[in-house]
Amino acid sequence: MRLFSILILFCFFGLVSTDLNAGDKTKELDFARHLINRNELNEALFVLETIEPQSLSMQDSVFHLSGWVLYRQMKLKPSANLLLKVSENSPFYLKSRFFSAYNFSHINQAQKAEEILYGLKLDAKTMHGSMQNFQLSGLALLNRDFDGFEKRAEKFTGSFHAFVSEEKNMHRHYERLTNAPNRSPFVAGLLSTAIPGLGKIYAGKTAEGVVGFLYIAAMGLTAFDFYRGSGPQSALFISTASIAGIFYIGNIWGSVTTVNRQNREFNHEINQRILFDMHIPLRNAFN
Amino acid sequence: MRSTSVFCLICIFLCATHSTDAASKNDTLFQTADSLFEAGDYFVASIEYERIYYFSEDPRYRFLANLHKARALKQKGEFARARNDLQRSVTARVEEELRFQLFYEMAFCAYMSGDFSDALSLIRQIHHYFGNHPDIGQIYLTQALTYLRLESWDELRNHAGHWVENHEYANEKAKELLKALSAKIETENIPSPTEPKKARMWSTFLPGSGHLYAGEPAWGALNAFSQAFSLGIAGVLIWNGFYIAAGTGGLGMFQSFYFGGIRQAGELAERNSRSEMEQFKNNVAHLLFSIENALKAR
Repeated sequence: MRLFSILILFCFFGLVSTDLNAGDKTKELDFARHLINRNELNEALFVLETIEPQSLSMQDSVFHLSGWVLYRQMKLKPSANLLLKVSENSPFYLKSRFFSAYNFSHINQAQKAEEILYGLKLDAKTMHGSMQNFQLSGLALLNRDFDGFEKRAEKFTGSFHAFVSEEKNMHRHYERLTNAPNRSPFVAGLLSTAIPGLGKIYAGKTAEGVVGFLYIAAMGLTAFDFYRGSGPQSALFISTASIAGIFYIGNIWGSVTTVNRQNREFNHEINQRILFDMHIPLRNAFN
Repeated sequence: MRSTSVFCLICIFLCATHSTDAASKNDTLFQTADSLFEAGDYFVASIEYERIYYFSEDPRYRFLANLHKARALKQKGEFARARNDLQRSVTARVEEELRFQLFYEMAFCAYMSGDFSDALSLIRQIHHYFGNHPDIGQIYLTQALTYLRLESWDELRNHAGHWVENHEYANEKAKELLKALSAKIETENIPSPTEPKKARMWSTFLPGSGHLYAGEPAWGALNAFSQAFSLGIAGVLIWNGFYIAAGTGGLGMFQSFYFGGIRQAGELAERNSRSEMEQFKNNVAHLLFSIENALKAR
């Protein structure tokens, strides 16, 4: 009888303690959420790291929240990797996948992002299905795959409030990209060789081109003045002509690099806009 | 029978443990957080205090946790965050002593985070709500420093006088320091700001004079010399018949020095004015701290 009583007590105590333990972990998750809501992200991450999940759903919650905190801290790669660990049964699965793909897009790993999005089996008629198509269209633009974009854009429905305006924006980005002038660094160099500064004007930097032209013209005229007054052997002519020559060559080289810089700036700017328009629907749909 | 007794005893023991837990819970609630705070681990201590704030249902414990968390954040130098966190407890119903501490911490954190208007507003609230509090004197130094940072010289003068003369332990040293302070913040001793616009205007008509106005005579002389030198080069080139070179080289150089000088005079006036005032304020702050120390020394 005595042994039996003790056995029952131990069983009871064991069950209660296990339950309490799981309850404590759930409370810890609530506490972590509270910290995230208060924007105390480092603190939330610290709390999440101390939680030892008791179940798969709890593990999913920890991965999801940790990934979310890292996303908020703009630590996109570790965020994407943690979000990928959320299992298919979790209510956070879709959100985690979409955000993980977005994070990979942001860190120039478009292929990885595509793999994640293609892995989602979604009905194209639902909002999430349409969003999958929309995100893939954004990725196609980021990859400058215009045929791919056109195919995706045909499936734009314009019927989901979460990203109806972003669909229109994607079309605008596509038009800007396809109509963008294809400026050649070689042509810019040639133009600046003919007329100093013209290459920069060709590259779209009119003010820089005009200033460059004025500087070189002033130096050239100064050298000419010394040539006219003191002859070709004079130190004044040789020094000013040399300086003018250096500036002239520098201007040609500057025109070549300006075209490259301009192309880089244009691509960066439009990529940021595409990523921004990919991001807004995610925040609209999942928050 | 014995088995039943054992069973009952175990049950009582378990219940007793739980009830003892409940009773001692509040006493031990802060133990972990406090020990972390004392060990200097302010990051984890702040989390533990926030945990108490989040889980505790007792408003007093929530209040205390918030107050302690602010102190941990202060140790980390996160004054603005501490100020914002403390705001959560403003409406809590606790004893006056605790509310005084809350407002004092809020005013202090607001001052330390550089939000002097907020600090002054909170100090005024402290005077309004806790005017007769025995520790009201704690706020006087922060109040004086706030007036100083806000450049409210008259208020600072009046407040410092009130602070020293009405102090329980006002002594000769403190009174002497007060006199020194009053003399220091006389209107004629307060640095008058040099206006960048005026400096630029001076340099427009007389090269180098704007730098002189900004308190940088060496830069002024250098700029005036540079302009004269470039004009000289232009003159020599014209004299020798190099008219184009005189225009592009000499006059080109002159316009760079001329317009550059105007811009530089404005920037120097702004920078020097700011640093002079900052230096003055630091000297006054030093005096205020000396008064506080003198009053503490009794």
